[in-house]
Amino acid sequence: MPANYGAGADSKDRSDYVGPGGVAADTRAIAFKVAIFRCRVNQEHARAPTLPGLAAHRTAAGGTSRSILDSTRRRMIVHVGQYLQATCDRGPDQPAIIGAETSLTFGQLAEQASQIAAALIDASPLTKCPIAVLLPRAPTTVAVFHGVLSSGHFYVPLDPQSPVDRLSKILADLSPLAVVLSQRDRSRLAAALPANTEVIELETVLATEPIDVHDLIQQRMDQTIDTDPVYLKYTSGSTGHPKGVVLPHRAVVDYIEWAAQMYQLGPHDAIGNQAAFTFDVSVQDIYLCLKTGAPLHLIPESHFSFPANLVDYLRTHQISYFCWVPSVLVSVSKLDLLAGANLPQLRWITVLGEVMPTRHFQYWAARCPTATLVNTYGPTETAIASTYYVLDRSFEDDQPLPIGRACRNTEILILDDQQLPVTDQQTGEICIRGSSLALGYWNDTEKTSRAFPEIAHRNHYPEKMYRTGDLGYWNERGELMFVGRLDTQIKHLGYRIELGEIESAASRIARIQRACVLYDDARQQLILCYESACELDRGALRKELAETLPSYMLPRVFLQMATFPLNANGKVDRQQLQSQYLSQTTTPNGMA
Amino acid sequence: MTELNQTIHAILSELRPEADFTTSTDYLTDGLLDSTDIVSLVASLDARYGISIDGVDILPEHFTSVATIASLLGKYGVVS
Repeated sequence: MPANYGAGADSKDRSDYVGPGGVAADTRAIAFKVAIFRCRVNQEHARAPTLPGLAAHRTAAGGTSRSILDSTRRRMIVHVGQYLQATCDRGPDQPAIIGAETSLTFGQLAEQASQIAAALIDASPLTKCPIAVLLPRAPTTVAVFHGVLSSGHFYVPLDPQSPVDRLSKILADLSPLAVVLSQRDRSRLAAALPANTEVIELETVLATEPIDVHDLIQQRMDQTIDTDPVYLKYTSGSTGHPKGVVLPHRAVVDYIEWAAQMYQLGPHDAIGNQAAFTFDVSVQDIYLCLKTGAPLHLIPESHFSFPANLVDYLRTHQISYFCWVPSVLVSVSKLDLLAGANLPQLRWITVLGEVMPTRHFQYWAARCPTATLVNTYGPTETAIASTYYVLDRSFEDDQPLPIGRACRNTEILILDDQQLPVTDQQTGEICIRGSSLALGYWNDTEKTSRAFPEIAHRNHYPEKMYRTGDLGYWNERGELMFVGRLDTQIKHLGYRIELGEIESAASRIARIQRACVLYDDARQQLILCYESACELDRGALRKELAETLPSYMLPRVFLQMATFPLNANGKVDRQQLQSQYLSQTTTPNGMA
Repeated sequence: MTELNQTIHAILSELRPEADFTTSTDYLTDGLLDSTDIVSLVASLDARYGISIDGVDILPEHFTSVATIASLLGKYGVVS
């Protein structure tokens, strides 16, 4: 074969003869085939003069590199499922997840997970597809997550109590390969399920005789690389449609490796879970448990309404570590429930999800002398926390707490409106780079490229960062301080809410011409201002909104106006609405 | 319904105007009151009666019906 029988010459010659329209691809395809052919020829040439000794050497070398690969795979975590495998090998009979009614050991967790995996493997030969998990916060749900991952897919936790309308919007966007749900929810949720989705009933799967799918699971796990998705979480979207954030295994592993070293948990510890499984703090709780062997206690939801019971729970279950939303700590502190409480086993008090009020943090610090308090910060678009601050000094009550410094393998950039780093202690947008970043938003490349742009000031090669939309600055100690938001996203009781999502839901009510939602931080309540000819019944409004919004998004206060005040640009003047609201609330509004 | 019970009912309806507190036999299991409602309810009761309900008394059994709320208030000297 002549050496100059090259793809380049061939494709060039042919391209001179082809006409316009759809032929360029054709030319490329031919060039591609020729290139493959040439490479094969070259390889054969290379193989021809092999000496006997070299052949033997080559095999040996191949073998060596494979065994290095295998042992590296064993050691390096590329799939979060490896955590349970290792912990289960160490102590299958140790308690893993403790719920109000049921509990699972690590062995039982692994066994239930493989039953789920078997059902999913049986359902489809495909891998790397989203599996919606519509289950309550219970031990078996953790097994389902693990089962989904073991079958080569990724899980999408959804709250079965969410309004059916909202779930149906989410499931239509997601088009999951399968939905895992409980028998008792099936008929209620039927209207939300897309037509061609495989429905897997948890009870049915767990009742089937377990079959050995170990090899199939191993095969599917081996096919997963750490940039594959591990979970997808839906968060509030400003246009009225919740958006799906896709996280890869790498991001979770990156964070958990840091957190496990930071908190030094082990089987003698007890993790107290508050976060719903739809909220990413639960990812930390779950994988800290699976990695370190510290049992995970799912604290009953009702205890968060009645904080006295919560404190009691901490004591009776000997909780040594928790990460809760600040509102929960505030509810305990406001009622002074730690006055007589003795919680010597509590080693770590960590918070995430919203601004932690200083006075209440210091209350916990004073009443729990054995514990270290950590204020952490991180959006859903990065795996759990991106920064942390360990309480190391006392503050005035009105002084904000730092959110501290970056977690290992994460960098925080503070950029100005030109996307350039600010100087000194100036305020700018908090941007995050590192392996903990999400892959992007599901089915939304436009939003993804806006929120995950390339770092403009490091332009020698492309690297993505996440723009949080949060404002912050470095204080004189080099600690990150949170200031506020660039947009109208708020945190209400730890829930991240785009006010636009509520506005969009309200605008769909026929009698409302226009809606604008405000948030009263001091009273922790949502206010719906609406344009309408007459005042509408509050009960009826809340009822209608509850059809599309989860309960934490329902406004408490309703302000009717004939017309909204507008600003110079003809947009609704939020500032003025805010002052109108405040002028009305100086008199008791029936809430206070 | 006594005046106290009526007031409690009015406060509940102000809090959750869309909920039906007359047919429910257990506000908590029926999902009529969530954690934020309890906080607001306690604040409203404190303000209305000039009392300060102790954190250790904020327990599920005191918030299942108008009657249980009334008896909790009784503990703080509020009588119907």
